[in-house]
Amino acid sequence: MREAIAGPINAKADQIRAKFQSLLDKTNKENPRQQDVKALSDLLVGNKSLDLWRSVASAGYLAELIVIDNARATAAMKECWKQRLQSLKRELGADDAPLLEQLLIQQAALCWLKLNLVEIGYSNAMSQSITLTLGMYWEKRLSAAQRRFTRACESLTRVRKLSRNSPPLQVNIAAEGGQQVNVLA
Amino acid sequence: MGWEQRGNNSYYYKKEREGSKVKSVYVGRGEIAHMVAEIQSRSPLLEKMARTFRSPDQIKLEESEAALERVTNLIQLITQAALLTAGFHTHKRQWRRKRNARSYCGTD
Repeated sequence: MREAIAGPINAKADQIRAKFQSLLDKTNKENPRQQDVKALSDLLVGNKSLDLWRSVASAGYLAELIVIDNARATAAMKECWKQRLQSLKRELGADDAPLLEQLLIQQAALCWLKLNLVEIGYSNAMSQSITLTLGMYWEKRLSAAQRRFTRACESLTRVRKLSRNSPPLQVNIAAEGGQQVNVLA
Repeated sequence: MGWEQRGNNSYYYKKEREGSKVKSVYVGRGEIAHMVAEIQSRSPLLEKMARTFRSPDQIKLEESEAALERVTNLIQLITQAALLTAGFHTHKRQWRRKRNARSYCGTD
């Protein structure tokens, strides 16, 4: 079942990545050409925007399935991980967050889960007598998981901070008696 | 790494790279040097065998890591795109908002 859905989802994700990468290379500079920024914007919020967000969310959901399925744990334990993952997303405010933040929350929760699973594997491996190669292997896995989790949290914090610091749109409405009402959109 | 003839005797040296230069570090001579040489000649083979053999657990771990890496990269790209179109840009790896930036879209 998982293999059947993994192919199309991964293909779609690769397609999106290729499109974005070429436009990002052109736009991530001090003074990008307006048409490149416009093209990137169209790609992001154009007619197919819902399809785009859904595709990325599907790729995230697929990764969740793979990470939980491949974990060395009982079925009951895997179910607990699934529930914990969902509750962590809720704690991070996924229900009310904008689409981009939802993706970043999904990423942070997934990286948190992966870090926990790798830490368990690392502890199990280190409690036995292991070869130097295997020890290095686990060290590498753990460092990668920690780095990925830190990066995910940083991205979420950065986006939240930047969107909070952006000046909100203010609409001034003239009221009776020359009074002015300011409304934040 | 190898044996070098100095005078009438052979000495075992190992080679170490320091930037663009390679220097010889003396290991020893005699029986101990022979043992070291034998162990070191086998260790790349053992390392290679250990790398080639991966347990089912390792295969699963790497599969889930690949899936996670794929989605992480994708979300990072989308985030960059959203920030760029919202009027931000990177300056020395730091996201900044341009003065009087024109926002092309919201992120929600």
